[in-house]
Amino acid sequence: MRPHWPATAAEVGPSAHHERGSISLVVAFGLCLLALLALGIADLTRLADARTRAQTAADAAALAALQQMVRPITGAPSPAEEASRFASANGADLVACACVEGSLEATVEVRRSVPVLWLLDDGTWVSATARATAEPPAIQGTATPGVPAEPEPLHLFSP
Amino acid sequence: MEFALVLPLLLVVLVGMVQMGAVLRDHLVVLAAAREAAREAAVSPDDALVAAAAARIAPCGAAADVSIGRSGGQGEPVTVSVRCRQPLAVPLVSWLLPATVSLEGVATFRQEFAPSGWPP
Repeated sequence: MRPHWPATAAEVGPSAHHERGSISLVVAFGLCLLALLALGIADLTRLADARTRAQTAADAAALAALQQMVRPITGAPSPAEEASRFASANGADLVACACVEGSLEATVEVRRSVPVLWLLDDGTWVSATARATAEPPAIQGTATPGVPAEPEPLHLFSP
Repeated sequence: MEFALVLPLLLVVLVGMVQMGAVLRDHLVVLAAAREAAREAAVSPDDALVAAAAARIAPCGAAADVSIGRSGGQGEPVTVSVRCRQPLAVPLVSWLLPATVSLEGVATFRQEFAPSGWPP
């Protein structure tokens, strides 16, 4: 007893049979590839989103730390605590803060988790760094008398 | 023959991917607009300047819906949210999906100045 699908060359012909099978295979393979591609793109989308948000958090944290270093507010938290506060406010965690009081430069690193991914491991972290600098205070005597001194502008460098 | 059946589906999927790419791009640009606007809000008490900063970058330009939340004076956070309603432009997909997609970006920065009228 032979299997029920066409068995003899006379019923379908070898070339027709061959074609039918191969087209189905190509389509199935193509659809799988497409699905895989879609999942990969979904992951990349989430990574790009997390990466952009992490950069915002890094920028905010670096500037917050530098402000507290250069123009400290009495009673306010330390520069590192300020960096952490503004990283959290933007949905990221502070990893490192090179923010020594008295320096004119703050460099921070933050990270943000990417909750659900399809192809990559869940719980992947993306990190971002930012560096903020302040100009040195104006030399005494250059300010116009009677005009309040402008605060030193803060600059932000983020890659 | 089967390929002829699958082809329309395949085209819709491909066109959908192109549309998704466009939406992703707009989404990232809205996030960047929120960051710029929040940065402006941190150094300037003028809400018009904040809206202008958002409009410069946002994909929907001046149509961007900008809301500014200040929670105090210098040293306290300011949160700016930028919202754009972007039309889905690619054919076929706009028939399957809603006509517009709402994109929002939020950023929080530390205020570098005391806003005018603060404390109230």
